[in-house]
Amino acid sequence: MQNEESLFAAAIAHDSPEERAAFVESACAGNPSLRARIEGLLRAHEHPDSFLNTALEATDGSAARGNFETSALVDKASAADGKRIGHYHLLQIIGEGGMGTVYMAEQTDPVKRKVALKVIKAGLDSRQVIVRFEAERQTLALMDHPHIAKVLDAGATATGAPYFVMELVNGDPITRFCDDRRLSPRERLKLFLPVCQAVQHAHTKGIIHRDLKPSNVLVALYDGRPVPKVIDFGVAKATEMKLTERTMFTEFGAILGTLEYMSPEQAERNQLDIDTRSDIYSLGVLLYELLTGSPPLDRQRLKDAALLDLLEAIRMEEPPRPSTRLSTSEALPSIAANRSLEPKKLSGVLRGELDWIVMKALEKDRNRRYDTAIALAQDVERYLADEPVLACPPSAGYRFQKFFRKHRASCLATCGAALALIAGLVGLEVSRELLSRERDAKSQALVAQDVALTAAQNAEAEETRQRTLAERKQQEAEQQTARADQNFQMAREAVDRLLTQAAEALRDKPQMDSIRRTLLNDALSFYQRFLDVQADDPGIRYESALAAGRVGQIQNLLGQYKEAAHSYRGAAPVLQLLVNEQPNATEAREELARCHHGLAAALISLHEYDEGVEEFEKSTAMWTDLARDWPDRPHYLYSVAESHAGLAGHWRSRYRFARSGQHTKRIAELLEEIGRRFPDFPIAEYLKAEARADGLANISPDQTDEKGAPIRRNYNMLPHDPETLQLYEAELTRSMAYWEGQIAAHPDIPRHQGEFLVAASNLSKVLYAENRTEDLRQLLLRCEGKAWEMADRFPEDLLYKVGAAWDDWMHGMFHWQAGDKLRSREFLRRALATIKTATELKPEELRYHVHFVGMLNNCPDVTLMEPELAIAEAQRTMELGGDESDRASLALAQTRAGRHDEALATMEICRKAVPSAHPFFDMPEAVIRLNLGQNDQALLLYRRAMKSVEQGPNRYWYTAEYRLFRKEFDRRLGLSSEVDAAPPRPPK
Amino acid sequence: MSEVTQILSAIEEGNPAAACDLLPLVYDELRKLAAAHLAHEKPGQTLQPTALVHEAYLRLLGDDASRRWDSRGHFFVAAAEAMRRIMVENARRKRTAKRGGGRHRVEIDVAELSDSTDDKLVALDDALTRLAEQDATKANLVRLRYFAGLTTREAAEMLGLSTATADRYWAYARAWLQHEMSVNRE
Repeated sequence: MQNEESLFAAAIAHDSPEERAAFVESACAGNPSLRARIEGLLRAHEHPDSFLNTALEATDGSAARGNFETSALVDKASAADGKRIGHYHLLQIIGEGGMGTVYMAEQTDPVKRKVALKVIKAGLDSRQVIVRFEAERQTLALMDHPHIAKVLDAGATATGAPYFVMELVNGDPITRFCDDRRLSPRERLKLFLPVCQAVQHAHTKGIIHRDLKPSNVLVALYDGRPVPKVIDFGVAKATEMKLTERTMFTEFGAILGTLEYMSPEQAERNQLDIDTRSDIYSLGVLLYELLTGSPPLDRQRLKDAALLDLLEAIRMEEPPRPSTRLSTSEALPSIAANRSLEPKKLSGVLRGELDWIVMKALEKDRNRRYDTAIALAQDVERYLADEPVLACPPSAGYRFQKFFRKHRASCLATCGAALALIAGLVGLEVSRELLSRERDAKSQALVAQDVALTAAQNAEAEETRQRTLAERKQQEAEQQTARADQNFQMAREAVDRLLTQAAEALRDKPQMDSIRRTLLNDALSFYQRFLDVQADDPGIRYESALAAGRVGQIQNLLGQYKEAAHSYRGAAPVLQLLVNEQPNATEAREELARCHHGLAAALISLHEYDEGVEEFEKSTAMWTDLARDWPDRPHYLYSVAESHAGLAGHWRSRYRFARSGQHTKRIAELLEEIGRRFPDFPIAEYLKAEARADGLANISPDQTDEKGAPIRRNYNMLPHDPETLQLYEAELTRSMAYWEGQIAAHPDIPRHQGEFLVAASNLSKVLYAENRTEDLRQLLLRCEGKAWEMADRFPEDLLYKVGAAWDDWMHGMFHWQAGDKLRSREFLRRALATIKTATELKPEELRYHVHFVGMLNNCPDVTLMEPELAIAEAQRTMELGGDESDRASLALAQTRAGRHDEALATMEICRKAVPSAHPFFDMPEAVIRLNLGQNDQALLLYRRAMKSVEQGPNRYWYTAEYRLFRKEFDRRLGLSSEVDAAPPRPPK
Repeated sequence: MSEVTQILSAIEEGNPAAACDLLPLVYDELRKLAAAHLAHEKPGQTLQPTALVHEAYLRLLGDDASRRWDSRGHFFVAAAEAMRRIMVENARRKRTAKRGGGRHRVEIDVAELSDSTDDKLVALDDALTRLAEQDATKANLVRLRYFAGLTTREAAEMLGLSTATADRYWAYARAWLQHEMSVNRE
């Protein structure tokens, strides 16, 4: 065999058949059977069996498409069999691609028109596709844009294949259109702009395309003008499958077709959070291809590499810059010719700004891409207008160059101008840092201008103009003012709608968060203009109060609770007055109720609990009255339920389960009533969940707050008696399972994740108090990574970040106790770093500083302790209105830094303000006394604290931190330590 | 951590017995996938080993798929063997059913195409068995390429061959198999 093999190898090294034959003849002389065998092998080599070949080439990628085409043809035949699908008469095939076949079809009913009908390849569950499409239909209907082809209908063919009906666009894929007409890069860029606008439009409506690629951007000529249209919006979502499922149901080739335009996050196995920025990436790929003739992912690679390698490449590999790609491309001459440019010039055009723009859109980390499609478009526009682009931190030289080109005449005109320029240059160099920092904010602002307020601005301009006219021509004036008012009303309604959409429709769509914030900020500045109007006219005052209510609502949504409370407080009395004067003014009553509700939410967030509860009770009462007066309006009942939900959540977080249970029960009743009387009325998932959230109320009496507790802030309590503690634990366990189910059923509602984590954290307190290490380990395992998952999903929401920090802290403390110091250090370090970031991002938030001080003071790992930083942070808490417990933390930080006398002085202030005993004060003071060598006093305080924690009302303090504290004490006082044993059960 | 990940770790740590545990797992998963795949396909459609094996890889390794990248060789060797069994069993079963005459044949042209495909697959498997007796490495190379859908480069890497050697082996093995199949058919 060895002989055969080497002869075969030598033979095929000869290229021509004649040489081969001659070689074989001489090599096998005298051995006819060997010769016959070799010739047989060579025949096989020269005429490979198609069977072996096709299957194998499929794995090389190139033939996969071929295979796919064939099967698509089979599909096409079956779908065209009937020549009719639903109301549509099939005319001809106009395209075949990734997932199916597109026909030109004629609609006969209700109107006669030509449409595009896309039949999705068999393999998808058509029922599911249609359900998903129906879910999106409402939103899709909101899209109305000259550069978007509308999706009109969806259904299933007789054979069960799902289909979509779309506006018919008689155009070519944008890349082909440009190449056919040899459009220059500038012309291509101009054609690219409306594509961005179309995508932006969809994004503001809450729709992500998910499958942007040249064949989904068609360019048609209307009146001789090229008009790009984006097709297939909503199709990708409806036919969406996880990557893993896709490999199963569609051929390999079908995936290859979309791989080239797939964003890194789409190439993840769990495509959990695709957001609008995924489309930005695909737009970047499109732009790349428009400029260089090919997408960033090398086509050769696509043929050679295995699927998993390709996905890896999409996620990890930085593509070559467009100019680099071109200069290394063998096809450069033809690519350049297609762009009506000389080859050298083309790379030159791309190098620099266009490279930057494209690369910014293609960033692997979506946070570094353009935030919005319009921001991308604006940068392209800037490039076209010879203005500096945002895509890259601009160097002074670059900005100078731009400035010079734009103002060449004036620059050369006078020496003074040149001097000014030089001065400006220096100034720019200095302020460069500032500029790049401002960049984000600035691009946000630019986006804001375009997205939302065009209507409002137009109306306002109109109004101003009309009012000026009115002074001149009084006769016309009234008429025109009326029109202006009308315009203004329309603008306000537009913004109202916008606000509702941003607040409601986008609420549980985390992927829309940045868009949502933009919309909210736009709306905010719009309403705030009303607030500046001072007038005695009651009508205007009412308008202004309405606006203040809206402002408060937005501020609440943006987490600006202090400002929100201020806005609501301004609005409430005006509305109250109105309601008093006209008790039948339902609208004003609604607004006032909304105002109380909003104020309550803001106050609770600000820890102004008493007042917050009061406000909630007011809103509950008002909505109840309204529901009684208008029994046919379900949304009043619904609002009552929402107010109760606010109260239930509040009391639950205060561990007043009997009270929260009352509200929960009421919610359940109200929802039942709504469901019975108004079965079609939609009820938010969170409210349904809330109605069933709280079982503890039935088994546990309220854990009353300590009488005369020395600290203002309420801390989480554990039940005192063992039986209730057991029930409490059971309830928390049940609660975790419940929320876990909710998370699985509605993964898009972040609130459920939050509830799950809160229950877990409370359960961990029980387990700590009982010193049940193994249970604790299981619990931590169950939650591992969950808090960070949330923090990563909502990078803008600091609450989740802080949650993740606490989660890390919990893990760190656990591992420290278990003796795994290395692992512990990793968690503790990350916890400290994360909470530090939170304090830096929101320096005015007292709570974050309090958390930070707590962690710094209690960190078991001395290498991570930073006593001076702890002091600075503790002082900051006092500046921000911290209470005596925070002052005690300051004292602890001081003594940890070796400033024992200062610490004692600080402690004395605390004691003066709060004379009663509490571990919060006894423990730090004990440490200070110990550090001062006053061991007797230290021991006394230590025993008192210990008694309170282990047997008294402060069992919730029996935490990892407490154990460490005790260990330290026992060691330093030479006591025998029993810290690791289970604590004594509290007396029954 | 998935079961497969654990097995892969065990193999890496030098426990050769673990490889035996891998095959049944991979086989089961692939068979399920193949069944699902065939259920959605037109008659006569052959299985696409590449898609199925990669799919199985993702499914069995779960989130570890990208982390375990380096040890995927063992997986693909097992997958190639599993896929071979599935495809050949499938083909043999179909042939038997047809010979028994129990099947009502409607789509004549399609079914015929499929017949010849099945026959060839069985013939290929027989030839491959004979090749393995003479040269196990080349047979493995064919299995990895044909049944696990690896490229020559990947297969070479897994068998510890240079790409050039693998190319040479491949050319020879392919010619050898085809020759073998044609000789036996005649």
